[in-house]
Amino acid sequence: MTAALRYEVARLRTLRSTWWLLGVSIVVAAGIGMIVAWAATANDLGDNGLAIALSAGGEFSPVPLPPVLAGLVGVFALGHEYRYGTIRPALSAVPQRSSLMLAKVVVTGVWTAIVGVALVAVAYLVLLVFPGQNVAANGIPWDPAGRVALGFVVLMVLWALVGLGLAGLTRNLPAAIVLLLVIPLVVEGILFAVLNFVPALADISWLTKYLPFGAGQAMLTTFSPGELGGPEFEAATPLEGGIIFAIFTAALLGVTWVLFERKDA
Amino acid sequence: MAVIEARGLGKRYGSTVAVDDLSFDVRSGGVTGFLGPNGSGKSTTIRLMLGLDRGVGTTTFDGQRFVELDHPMQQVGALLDAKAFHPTRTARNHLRVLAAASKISKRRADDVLEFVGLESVATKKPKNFSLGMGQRLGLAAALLGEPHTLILDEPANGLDPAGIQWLRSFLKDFAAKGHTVFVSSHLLAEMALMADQLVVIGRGRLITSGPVEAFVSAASGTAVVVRGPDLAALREALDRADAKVTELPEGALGVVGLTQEEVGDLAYERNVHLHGLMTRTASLEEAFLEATAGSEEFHLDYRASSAETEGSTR
Repeated sequence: MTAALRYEVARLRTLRSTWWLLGVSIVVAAGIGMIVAWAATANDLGDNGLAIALSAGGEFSPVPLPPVLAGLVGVFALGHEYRYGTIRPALSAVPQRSSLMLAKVVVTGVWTAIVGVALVAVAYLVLLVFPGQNVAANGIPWDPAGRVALGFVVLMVLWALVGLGLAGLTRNLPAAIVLLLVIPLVVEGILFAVLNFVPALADISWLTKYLPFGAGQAMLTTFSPGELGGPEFEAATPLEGGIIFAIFTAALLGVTWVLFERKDA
Repeated sequence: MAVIEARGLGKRYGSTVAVDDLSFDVRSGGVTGFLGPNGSGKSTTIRLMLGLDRGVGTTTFDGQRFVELDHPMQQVGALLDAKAFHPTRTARNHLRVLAAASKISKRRADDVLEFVGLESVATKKPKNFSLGMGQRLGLAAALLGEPHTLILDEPANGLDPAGIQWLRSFLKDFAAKGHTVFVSSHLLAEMALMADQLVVIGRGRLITSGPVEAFVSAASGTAVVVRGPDLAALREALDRADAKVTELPEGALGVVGLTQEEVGDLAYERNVHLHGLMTRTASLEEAFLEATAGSEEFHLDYRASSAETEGSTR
């Protein structure tokens, strides 16, 4: 297992994409922090504003960008191996497939958690140094800012592991990236609309809250459904959402793990 | 000392049998060539040996399966694909990633890059590497852990003549130190110069394995050629001795089934005057084509016409 971890850390560290994805994520986190801070100079955004800043846009982004970029880190963890044929040298160095897969899960998860914490820290620092803002004066209260910040880190990790799972499932880098974007942005959007706006399906509209990416997004929720004046939909609580998305991720990884063990390299 | 024992290897792709109950040994101290027509299952066999493809059978390296080896790169070096690297990760880092998994020092990456002649591109991204450079990088990866066994799939592909000569010399020297080399190649002339033992397969099945000399001498192209002004009496004696005799141009005879000495003795006994007595050894290519005739996965029309042409000129 140690050998697999060393391989995976070296693989991640020597990839150029690891660093530009990190750079873009930091720019996004800092940029959104600045926008919120700027907005907070003239408006009282309160604790919700802090939560939004710490989660790179949080629930107001259709898909927050840093978790998407974390998803790419996950896709690359296995997708590159198949795209460039390095899976065979990798398994020649670490022939225990479960060890290699576990190392990919652990290193991808730990790395994106570190990045997630770093992004929260960057956003908070931007708020602190921005003159005149009023959202970061009292530290980070647990609800909602602290909870959302934790949810943001968890969301980063889960998106990364979903990316890893999709890459293992498809063994095709472009297909995994497309699925990573199409499922939350298109498929879940269509299902959400169908379940909530087709009268014949009203009885099963509660399924909406089990749409995995949407459920994961619930971890960033600061407003309850309908609070902002729109229609109310069946939605998961932040904890429920995290659990639903985690179960989906675990199931996807489980299938990928079995395929990785059984199929030719 | 390292012995590879492959037993009952098998692999199916749907209804197609790629490797069928294949067993062979690879000994240390020599180069073992792995031959077979296109699509005969050579690469699949190598992947099965390393546990990269799922199939049946077992392969052991000094009694241990590959997956059981502690730091396998320090025991078995493998070259499977010429361009199995990330295009934007430098050649040095490509090796360092593999070294990290195998408790190999970072410095070793530079050593093997220098050994294969890639030290000048160590910090270059390999996306623009030629096939030959890719092979050299793959070979560097195989040598990274200073293994006692090398398994190389078509390592000469893309190498220039100097590179091929270098590879041949290296592999022979490596094997001469008591190490084990198992190498597949389509370059039969190269294999004839390099290999001591052969494993020949066709359609995934073992055709033969053993010393190169035995393989070549068993081919029908290997014959005792006899020349003389009147060989009629010798021909009669050869027929009685159950030798296979063919008539060659200019009245010469080709004899299969008897040694040069035996044919000479027969001529002496029959008081046949000879102008020439020599053994013509078949080339490895002739022996290979004869051994694998009918087992090609992909047939080429020119082969048939070429064989006819050869037959008519003998």
